Amino acid sequence: METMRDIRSRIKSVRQTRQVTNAMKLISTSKLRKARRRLEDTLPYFNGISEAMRDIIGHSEENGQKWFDRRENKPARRVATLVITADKGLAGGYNHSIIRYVEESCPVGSLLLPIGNVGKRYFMEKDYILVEDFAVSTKEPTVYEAKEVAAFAASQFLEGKIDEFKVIYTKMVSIVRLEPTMQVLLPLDAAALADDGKGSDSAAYRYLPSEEGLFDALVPQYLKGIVYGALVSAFASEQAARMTAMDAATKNADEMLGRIRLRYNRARQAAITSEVSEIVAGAAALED
Amino acid sequence: MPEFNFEILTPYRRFYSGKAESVTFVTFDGQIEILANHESLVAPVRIGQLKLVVNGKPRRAAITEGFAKVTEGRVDLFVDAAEWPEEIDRERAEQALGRAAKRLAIETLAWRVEASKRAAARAHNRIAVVRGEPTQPSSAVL
Repeated sequence: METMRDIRSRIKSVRQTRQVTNAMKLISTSKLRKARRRLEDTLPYFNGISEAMRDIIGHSEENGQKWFDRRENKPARRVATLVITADKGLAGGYNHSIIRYVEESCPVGSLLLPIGNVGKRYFMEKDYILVEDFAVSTKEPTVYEAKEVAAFAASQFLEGKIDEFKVIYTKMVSIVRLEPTMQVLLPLDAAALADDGKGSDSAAYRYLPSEEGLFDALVPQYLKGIVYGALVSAFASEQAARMTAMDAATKNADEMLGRIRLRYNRARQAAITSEVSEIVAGAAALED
Repeated sequence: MPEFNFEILTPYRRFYSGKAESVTFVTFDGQIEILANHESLVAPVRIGQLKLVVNGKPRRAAITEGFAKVTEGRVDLFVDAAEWPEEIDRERAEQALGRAAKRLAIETLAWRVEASKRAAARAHNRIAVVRGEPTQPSSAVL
């Protein structure tokens, strides 16, 4: 049987853990608020740029454009994937679901560009080729960091070192619905971009300077916007996941404390009972 | 004057959203002014000044790289950053210009030289906007 002392130390340790999880919950709540504000500031740009791109591509000639080249005849097409995970764990299923999603959708041996320490460390041990170690902070991504990633991807694509570029990140649908999402960024695909929206309604565009020159200027902008949006969205998702996980952990600790307290009271009652019965028995012995 | 819907979006905020009568910005071929009923157009935007006429009153702002999309009745500008003159910290812009000039003197890697040139052009543009002067074309600055 547990003694009262054992139970007391157990209560203490659970209470300390609860304190930690509760503090983490509060921290991620306030970080989430900030991250969501940033996400809301970015969303019009993010959505606007996607929509504009869709509209422009819908009107342009696909043939012979280097940004549209699928290179289907190439024997070994190389696909590079930008994977956004968190820098830290303790965020519930956040990192795990991204990693699982990557393993399902990227065949072993493909190229990965991991952002976030958890993903980096995990995929280092696996049979993937890690291409570049970007010094991008998952915490407060800047447009300039996104630009660096986008410029790298664009140049690798044009040089033919990669034939496809996609990004996998967590999209925050709502606080409790975080969905790992994949978006193919290169080559530009008019069909894929066009079918998730309204068709092309307006007249054809005039391009300044030329169509080719325009896309050279436009594509890096587009990539950068999408990468930045993905980073901001991923960070907000991470905070939401951590908040939910820590909230659950705190609740579990509360429940556990309740059960242990019950056991503690029982043990105390048992101790008192046995003490009383000893006294009674002693007194009875004296009377006899 | 006839109006159209105009919006400037940056990754950090919706910079401007409303009616405008005229919008002027810089593309690769030089300055371009958009009035109502302009033909549909897509063009890259370069670092420079944005001139905006709303209710007959001109306003100016510093903008960086991005692109513009003109469709029937509306103009959208997607740029990295945009600032009104009153938001610009002139001292910071001058420091940035100094830093960029210093970097430009020592850098040899092509893309770093390019980055420094852009930083210098951004800083120069912001200073010009605060002063209320026209921005020199970036080739003249460097």
